[in-house]
Amino acid sequence: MRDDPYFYVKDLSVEFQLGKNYYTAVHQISFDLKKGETFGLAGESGCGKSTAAMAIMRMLQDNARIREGTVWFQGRDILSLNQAELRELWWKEMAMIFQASLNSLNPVKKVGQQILEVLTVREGMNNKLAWERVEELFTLIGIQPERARDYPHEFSGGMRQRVMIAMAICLNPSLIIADECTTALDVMIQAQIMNLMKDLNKKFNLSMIFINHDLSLISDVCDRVAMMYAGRIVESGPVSDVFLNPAHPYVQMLIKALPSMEQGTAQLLPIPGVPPRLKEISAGCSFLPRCPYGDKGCSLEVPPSVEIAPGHSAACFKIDRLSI
Amino acid sequence: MKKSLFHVNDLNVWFSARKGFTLFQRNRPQKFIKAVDGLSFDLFEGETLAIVGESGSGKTTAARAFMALMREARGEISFEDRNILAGSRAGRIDLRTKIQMIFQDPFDAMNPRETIFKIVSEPLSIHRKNLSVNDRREIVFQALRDVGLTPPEDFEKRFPHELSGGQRQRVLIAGTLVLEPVLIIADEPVSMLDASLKVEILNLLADLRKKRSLTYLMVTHDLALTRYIADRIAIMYLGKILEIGPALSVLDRPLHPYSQALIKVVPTLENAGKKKTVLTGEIPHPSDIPKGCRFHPRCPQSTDLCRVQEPETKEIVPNRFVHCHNVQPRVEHTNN
Repeated sequence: MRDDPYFYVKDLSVEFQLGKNYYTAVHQISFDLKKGETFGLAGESGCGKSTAAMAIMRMLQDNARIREGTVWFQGRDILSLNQAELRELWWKEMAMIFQASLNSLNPVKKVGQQILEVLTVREGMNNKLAWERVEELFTLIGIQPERARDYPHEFSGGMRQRVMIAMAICLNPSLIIADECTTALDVMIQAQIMNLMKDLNKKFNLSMIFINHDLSLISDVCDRVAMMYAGRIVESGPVSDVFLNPAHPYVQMLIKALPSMEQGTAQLLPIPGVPPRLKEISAGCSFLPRCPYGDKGCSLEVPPSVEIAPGHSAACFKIDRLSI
Repeated sequence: MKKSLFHVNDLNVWFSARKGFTLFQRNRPQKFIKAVDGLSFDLFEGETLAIVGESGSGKTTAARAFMALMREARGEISFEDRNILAGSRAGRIDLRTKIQMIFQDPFDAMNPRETIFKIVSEPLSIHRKNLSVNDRREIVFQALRDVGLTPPEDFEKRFPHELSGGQRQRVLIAGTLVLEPVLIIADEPVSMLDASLKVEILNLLADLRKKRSLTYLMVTHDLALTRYIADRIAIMYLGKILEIGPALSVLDRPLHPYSQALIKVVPTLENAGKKKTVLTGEIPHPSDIPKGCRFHPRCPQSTDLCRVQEPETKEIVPNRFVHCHNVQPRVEHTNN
């Protein structure tokens, strides 16, 4: 860790209360992020990536709690902030683009009005000034400024997602967390949104945590990636290292299951079995039941994360035996 | 020449857009939402045809029309040389024993209060009422075995909420098999599933095709998957097929400007980080289909002709049809 880290997460664990018991959804995840960097958090549904994001934003639902860990952001631990300090932080320093853009806008308010509200309340801008800023933002995200006076239902899914992005950047935060921000969109619109995000990233030197299940999309926009499985980070490193030379059996198998646009019609191999449910997570390596290399040793304790190349680490006991 | 099993000719599904205060709108011209507008293709026996398109391209409406589920459908859809749209209600019901559909969402497509046995056997209780209890049980169990839910005794009494997403999709597939259909229409069968499960279900569908000699018509937006499952691909835009041909040749050498753009923007591990040329704008609303070529406002190669005249669908190279003025028939296969 550098002397003055911009952002890092250390040993973050989140648990959910179900009935009387607590179940851990995120186990001691750690990663860091440099200023201006795009970091991907990838994994299949249920792996804990969205929960991790919500914990970082301190926006967890009521039945979830952070058991331990640090989320360090620009000189302070976010987990120790009180509600007032958090409100000051949200949108202004870190903002989130949510998964369901279709449900995140108020249907009875004009789109521009919803961004305006943030500006007037948080920045104390007068209406005229704030409206100018809204129009400026609309130009930035590639929608005609006049459309700011329309209602959400008059916008397409892609445009609504653009509005969510405008809202996220309206107070010039330096960190954006994007949770599955293109999931419901078509490839063409998705590509448009991705280009927009890349442009904004360059223009404002934004740092981004990009949460997605689509590995190809992650590899397209991110500098580094962490792969999650059953609440743990199983492998992390520069995108090209992780996806071209995956070390963890899970990541290797997942990549073999992805259809390619360029190679022939090679047989794709599914990973046998299903990920463990929240209640079933065992003492040892959670991938063991599906792993072709696992043995008895793997069932005793959780494998630690080992650095296998500069900046590239994986959590597996069998790494030596695997070809990397 | 392979035998055509399913033939669609100039299919239109237009919805009337006049709603609400009709009193005040009486003098306005009748507007239509043209979800499917002049769709034609052949589906050959034993093949898998993937219909690919963005949302709003009319692919789901088309899939429903193929099942005779759309009252608004006009044109010709013939299955085993019988026009589905002209037939009687009894004929349509008979048809549904031979054509079955797999729906997109394995979470919403099942009644949560019914057991797996009830769900899978339901088509039998409608279409084959006089089946004995034992026969019915045997058919359902065989279907469950075929989709990999073994032993079937373990699954028959369970409820949908006890199953994972992949298992639910298997149950739905089992439900389509019990009537021994010839053709299965699958509307985004794996879009709700995780990467590894997607492959599992697609491999299952491929196995079933061999085992039960099925023909598939698959509707999807996922181009990367079509390379893996489809024999032929049809690229649909605003209710019409712009390009159709053998899967690999369309994906490797797309001819229509739209398919070229669409195929280029699919993110893959190989093209990561490269700047992609992206079409501007969005697919227009089907109530307002552009005049001339429907793709011309977004087309990088459009000419004056494209603005005024709708192109014809021409066979450019054998078995490859393209709906564009600027693509001319060729004698040989070349890289353009």
